[in-house]
Amino acid sequence: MGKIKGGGFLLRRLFSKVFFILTVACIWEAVKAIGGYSDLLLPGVMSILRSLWLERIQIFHMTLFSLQIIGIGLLVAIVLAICATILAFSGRIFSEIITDVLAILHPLPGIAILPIAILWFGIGTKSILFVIIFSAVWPLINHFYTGFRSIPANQLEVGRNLGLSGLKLGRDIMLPASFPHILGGIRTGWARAWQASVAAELVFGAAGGNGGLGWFLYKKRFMMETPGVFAGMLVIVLIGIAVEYIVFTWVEINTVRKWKTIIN
Amino acid sequence: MGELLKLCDVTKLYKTSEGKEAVGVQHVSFTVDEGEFISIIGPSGCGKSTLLRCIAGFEKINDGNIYLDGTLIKKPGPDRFMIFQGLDQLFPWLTLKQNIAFAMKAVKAVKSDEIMQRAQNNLELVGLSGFGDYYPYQLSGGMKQRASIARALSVGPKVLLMDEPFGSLDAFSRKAMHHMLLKVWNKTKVTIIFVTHDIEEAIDLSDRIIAFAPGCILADIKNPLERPRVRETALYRNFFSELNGIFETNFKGIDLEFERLSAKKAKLISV
Amino acid sequence: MYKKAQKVVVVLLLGLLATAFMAGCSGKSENSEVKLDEGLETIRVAKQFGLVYAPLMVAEKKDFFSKYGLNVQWKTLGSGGAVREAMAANELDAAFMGIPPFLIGWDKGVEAKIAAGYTVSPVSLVTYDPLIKSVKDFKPEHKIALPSPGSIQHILLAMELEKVMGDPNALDDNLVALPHPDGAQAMLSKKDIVAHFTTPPYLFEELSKPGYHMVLDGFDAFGGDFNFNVALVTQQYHDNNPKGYAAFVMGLNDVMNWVNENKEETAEILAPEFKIEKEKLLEYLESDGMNYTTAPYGIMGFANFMKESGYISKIPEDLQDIAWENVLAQIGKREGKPSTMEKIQWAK
Repeated sequence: MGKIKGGGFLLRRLFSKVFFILTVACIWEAVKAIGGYSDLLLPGVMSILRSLWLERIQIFHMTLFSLQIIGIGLLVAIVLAICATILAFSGRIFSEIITDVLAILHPLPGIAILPIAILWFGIGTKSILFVIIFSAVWPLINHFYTGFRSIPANQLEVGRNLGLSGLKLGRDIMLPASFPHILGGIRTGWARAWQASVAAELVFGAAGGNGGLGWFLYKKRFMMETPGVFAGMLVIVLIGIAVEYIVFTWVEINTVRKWKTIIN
Repeated sequence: MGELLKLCDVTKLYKTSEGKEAVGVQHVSFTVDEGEFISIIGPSGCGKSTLLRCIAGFEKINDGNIYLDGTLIKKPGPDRFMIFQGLDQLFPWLTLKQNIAFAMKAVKAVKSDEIMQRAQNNLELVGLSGFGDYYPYQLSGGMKQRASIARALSVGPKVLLMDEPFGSLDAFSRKAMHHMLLKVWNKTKVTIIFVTHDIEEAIDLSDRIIAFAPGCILADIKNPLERPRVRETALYRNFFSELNGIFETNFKGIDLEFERLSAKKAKLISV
Repeated sequence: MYKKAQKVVVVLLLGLLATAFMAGCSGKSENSEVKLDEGLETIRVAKQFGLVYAPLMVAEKKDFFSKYGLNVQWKTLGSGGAVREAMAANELDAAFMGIPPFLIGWDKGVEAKIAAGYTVSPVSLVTYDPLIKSVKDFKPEHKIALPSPGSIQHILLAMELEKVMGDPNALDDNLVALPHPDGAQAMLSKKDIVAHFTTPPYLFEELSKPGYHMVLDGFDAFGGDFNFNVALVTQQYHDNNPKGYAAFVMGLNDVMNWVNENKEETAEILAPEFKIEKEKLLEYLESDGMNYTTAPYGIMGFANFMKESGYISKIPEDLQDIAWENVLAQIGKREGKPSTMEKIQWAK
């Protein structure tokens, strides 16, 4: 890819995305015309955008709700993952237990525990939060653990040589040294949390006034407002892209890309 | 010059993964004078690195005492600074200047308004004056080791512990590094304990050479050669042969033991 | 990077076109499947689980359709939403659903009409909170469970809210979408929800517990009787398979009548299916208000309200827009003032 300069790089990425979206929109309309599909089965781009505009206030509120609940869930998951990682490093037994638990629960889709979540926490926001935390916490632990393990021993020993220990060693050396993995973990955690929140609301939709974009999709589906369903999906995709290409890429450019410690 | 570092009867034991005890370092005693440059030589896996790590305080010793300036060593500290062989000891998220400043801030030895100037001075000392704003990935292996030395010096250590610091470099860079290290040593008068398996490197650099075999000292010899040392002279060759001879005679008996130890080294656990 | 993007676009284009053609082909291949059994008409019908499907289960057990030369392919689907989507995608020829969900589909272009009424059943809002006597007593923290947005329960509640509070959406933020069994379970454990808009047998079960009482009777909200479900047949099937269509309607009539005459035997046949005792099932079948009928009731009554409240964008101009000729004939067209049969198709 050659040399990467922050602004230009973002702009190029943005341009390629816009180009991509426009192309997809054209193909979309072509398929609709060739297949002769009705708006019910495959709504046109314009009717999706119209629905997006008409529902903008509701979508805005529901997006805020989704982001808020995902933010809280992700934060709790990160704190839990940090605790688990510290625990894993404080004794061989803990590290074995955590590795085993991870192997069992990491492949389980968060949405699969929704029935349990409803039993334990009822049908409100708490259950969705639980599913989000569950979905995000395992990849977070996985990445944090790998990240801490992959810190070069020399860097830790330089830290100890400088008289650092405990919290200071963690904050000043272990955190930045494992940052590529931490960033990877948060990235995966965010993606899984986002999927889980939408999936949970789509499956049990029990949200009443407190609903996110999944609940929006659910309602639109039951009203057979296919353009609305697509509008909701569009918002979900756009937020995913925005967070990925603006937030995470920005962080990446200013950290691991600058340091050349980027993994994968 | 007074006595700076004193090792009395130091023993460090390891356990193999099957639980058997294995010796890392056994009943080792020697002293190092202030400003002295000594080398510890020996084949890989003979315990010379372990000894260095004991002095640094990274390893808890099972028996004996190590004193620095008359004070018992219990844990790592900036007065004994370690330079590793690996090229990853600089913090990749900091520029060279920031790496050095970080070390100075951590030990709080330097007033904050002097930190940047000191960092610059140290970089100049190791020949990296124009590279202060570079990140480690932008440097060659030799430059990284130079920067590590600059960082180590910045905290004002009494002893520099160098564990095969140029082992990852090619012969040409090593030559340049030797030159640089001697210059730094002359200027700062810092005491250096230098671990290597290269006899010539030890002769080139040090005042005194300790020959190390699995777990113990074979010989402790003062370097008779004048500085700068020229490899082509007869005196140099003689001294080289003398050192080499120590290993050849002594290793016949302990070969097997040594093989056993180094094979298990990866699985050793500190006790 | 651009080359990569181009590649992705090309692959996507090909993929989408292929999907479009495949969709066209799959329609044809299924049509050929219909004539598998020589001499028999085939119809694909959606089936869900619930007491309201009791007559259909009897029809399946006792061959009420095959005796008219109709081979029924039952398709089990998870939710009412899925049933409607399957109809829109031409994966189904016939289905049973509430009038409001049907009208939403009709409004959005699902080409199907009512082929028969399908039972009249009580549907009521139940609570265990003694302070809640009417819909006006719900506080913002009170959650009300009903099957889904746009369901008959949702529309009935909205109708009542419009009458009592002038705002059909007054309790929208209180609504929780839960399938009947989950809702009943939540109600009986008094967890999360305080009220449940439901139908038999859950309705009877909840009302039989002490302290559980009715807040709203669906018939009162509507202002008359209405079919709890209607049988729908797609335009395509109706037009292309007149024999199959006739057999389907006749089979429905036949089994409905049989259930009315043989409730005890019905209970006996279905008790193992529902995994409840025969006596209990019989009690449900015979409970007050249940009417096993194929006659149309209140099929136009929801449309006006749903249009005014924005659930649908247009109203059927005439019964013909939403019902097939056998239903239209049953209702008739009295010269002069409308007949009783015509009047009961509208809400009061």
